[in-house]
Amino acid sequence: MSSDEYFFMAKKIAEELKSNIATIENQIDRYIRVYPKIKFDAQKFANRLAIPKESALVMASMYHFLTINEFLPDTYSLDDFILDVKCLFDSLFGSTTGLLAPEDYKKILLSFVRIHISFISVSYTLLKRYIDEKGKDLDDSIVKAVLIREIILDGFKASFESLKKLGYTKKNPDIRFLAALLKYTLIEAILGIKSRMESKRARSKEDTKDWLTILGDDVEIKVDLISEPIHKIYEKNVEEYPLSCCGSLFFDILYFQVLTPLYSSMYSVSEDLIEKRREEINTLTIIGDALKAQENAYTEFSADGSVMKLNLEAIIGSALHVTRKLPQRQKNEIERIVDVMLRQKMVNQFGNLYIKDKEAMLKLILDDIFQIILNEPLLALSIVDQSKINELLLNPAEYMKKNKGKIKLLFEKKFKSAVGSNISYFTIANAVSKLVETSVIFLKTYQKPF
Amino acid sequence: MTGEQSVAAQIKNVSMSISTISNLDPNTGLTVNTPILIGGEKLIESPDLYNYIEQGFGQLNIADLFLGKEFVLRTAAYLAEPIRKIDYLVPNLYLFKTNHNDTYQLGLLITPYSDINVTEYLSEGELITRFYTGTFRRTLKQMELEKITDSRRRRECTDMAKILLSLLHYRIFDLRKLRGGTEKVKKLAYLSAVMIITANIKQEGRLCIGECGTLYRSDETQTDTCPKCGGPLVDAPPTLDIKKIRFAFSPKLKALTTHVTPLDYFSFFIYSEIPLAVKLAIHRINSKIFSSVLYIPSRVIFEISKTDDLIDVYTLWTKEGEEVTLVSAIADSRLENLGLPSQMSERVFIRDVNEGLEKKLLFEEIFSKSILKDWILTESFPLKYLDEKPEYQTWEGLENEFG
Repeated sequence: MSSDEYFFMAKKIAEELKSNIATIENQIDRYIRVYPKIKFDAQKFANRLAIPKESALVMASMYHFLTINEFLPDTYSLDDFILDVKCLFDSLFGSTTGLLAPEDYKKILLSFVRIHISFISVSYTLLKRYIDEKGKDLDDSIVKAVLIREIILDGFKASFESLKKLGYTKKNPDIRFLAALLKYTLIEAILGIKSRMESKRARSKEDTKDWLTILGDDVEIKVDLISEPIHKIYEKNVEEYPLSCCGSLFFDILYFQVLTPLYSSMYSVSEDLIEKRREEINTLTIIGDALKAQENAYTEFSADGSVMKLNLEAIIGSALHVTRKLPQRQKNEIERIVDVMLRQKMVNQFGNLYIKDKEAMLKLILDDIFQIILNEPLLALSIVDQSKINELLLNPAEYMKKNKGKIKLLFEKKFKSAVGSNISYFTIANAVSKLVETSVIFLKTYQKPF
Repeated sequence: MTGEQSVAAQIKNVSMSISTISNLDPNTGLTVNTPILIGGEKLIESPDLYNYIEQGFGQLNIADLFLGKEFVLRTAAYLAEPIRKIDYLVPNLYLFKTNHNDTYQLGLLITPYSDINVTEYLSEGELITRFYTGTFRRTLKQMELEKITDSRRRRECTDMAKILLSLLHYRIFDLRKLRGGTEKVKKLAYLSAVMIITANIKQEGRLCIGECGTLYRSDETQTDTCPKCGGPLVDAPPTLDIKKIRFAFSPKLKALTTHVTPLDYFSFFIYSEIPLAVKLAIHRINSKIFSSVLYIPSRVIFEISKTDDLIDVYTLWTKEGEEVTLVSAIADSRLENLGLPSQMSERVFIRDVNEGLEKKLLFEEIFSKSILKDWILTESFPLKYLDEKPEYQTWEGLENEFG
């Protein structure tokens, strides 16, 4: 099953069951007959929350409804659920919990369960949208803001209103409880994706004959997250977030209490999918550009790699010999050309823009860049040892001829270090523009005027 | 390589979102402004001017734009009418003014897109003000509980303002939202009058975009430097010099003698103009562009402060040489039980006017063929009559003059 299908299915299940909740009321008697344990559990509710037995039966049934239908994992204890319900009442009524009719308790619990299920649906939709947006290389703050505005906000607001409408007190519901509930479902969704991605990785290790894959990445995805019951998350929220109401706080609490603490875990479990999405977007962009090139006769964008290399050499030559500077615009242009060149080479060589072995990707471009250095020896200014710079400047072509082998080794070492451990189109293109920039700076610094 | 960039990307590069949020500093009790600028990399005349431009927006008296009048301009779309050829995607201006408790916000959108949905833009602006207030409250409480310092509090609020405005900018330019679509209607309004205004485009004088913002007449100074403060002097933005006006109105308006007079409606047109202080701040962004473009309020929504009534002004225009003819349709939600046409009918009427103007028909002909054929159409008269002559100050008077 693809990740799209998984998200869609999880969301659908949640929605279907949400519409079935109304029938649970009618099923309570049946539940009690089928699960006699409920009577026993109800006693615990009655004792701990000081509520009448009839109301306690409803609550115990809710617990079983949620665990049987896997809205709560079967490891979620009854004691934790009782504490959750207590927190629900605290957030609705404050510390004074007057005695309500069983009918009222039922309404409140039903509302709670409905909201819980809708938040599960929101959580999966959110993760899917997260992958889409993150694939575009945006600022994290914007990604979070988009997720809140477009995925969470309406549902959160609606849930708040539905709790408020229960209207048993004049008090506004504590939004920190709602935020805790959402955080819980989001954590569960993230952990769900984690185990799914881990199985996927394990499967591809088993299925493949490619020894690089077998010896490659670990199956395990490390995240700094544990599954905690809702009431514990609520307690933390109350400790950390000083206000409880109301609408003007929605964005703030969702941003700081829900999304930000989970953000790096969201990345860890979605990394593979994000990279795929990124490539999809870039491929579409390249295809789009290529189509435009066919339409526009004036374009300098060419499918021929050698023309691009000429353009690159022209920019570098101009910076080193004519202007003696490299403005941002030119830097961007260098990065752009390197990026496109590399992508084309990747497609030609591997038939794919995305391969596991990043070292191979780096190696593809090394020879081309070194060729450019051979043609433009002044680029070696940022590569050779400082003590050799004067010698290089005296006669660049001669120096190059004599020390070609040494310079190549030095270049490869320096370039790999400049790219760093995170090898990507961006870091490689950046390393090239930095190489040119540094050479230009050294040239200005060391070359004595005639 | 501009041939390669898509139109959307080119538009995004010359678009800018600006917001100034104004509220009271809890320690000093003084008003503090937070100006936020997003985008506009290719719009700003020079990146060196960035701080200077930001300062211009930070210095605006925002609360002033709200108080003192019976009504507040909530949102407006100003479409560009270039008065000379400029080598640029000409930007339009969109504006909203919102407030939540004691926080006031002026939002501006500068973009070549001409189909921004102003009611949606206002609604998003309202959300921004609300959410900013939330962060402000929360950080204030944390400061009172001594969990964070005052400078951290201020930084968090500024960061949140940036995030919220960046979000809006991203939704407009990357997610293609807030464009076209149906307009949200807060309250039903009724088409009550149409004004036909004849004006000349005036561009004269020089404007100081430095500290003092003085407007000089052309004969007052020849230099490029402000004699008062030494700031740069540039061409002043073009304005409209209104010569004549004529009204079309329903006979049912005759019963109304206060708050809904011809002068009241004309005043809405005047109040539609971008406040001078805001204009000056915008001018700093790129004086070459903004001194070459006349901005005409094509859609303006006012809210009556005490009730939640609104006045919705929709304007079309044609330009011939230096002369501009504007047709403004006014819908007023206060005039509920007079049996006036709804805003749906307003759309139909505007379409008729558009066609008529293209065919260069006379207004008499346009009106006689439209849904407003039984309305009273006056002749053109000098603007000053609205002030000076009593018979021009009521609908009944106008009917007597021209009916």
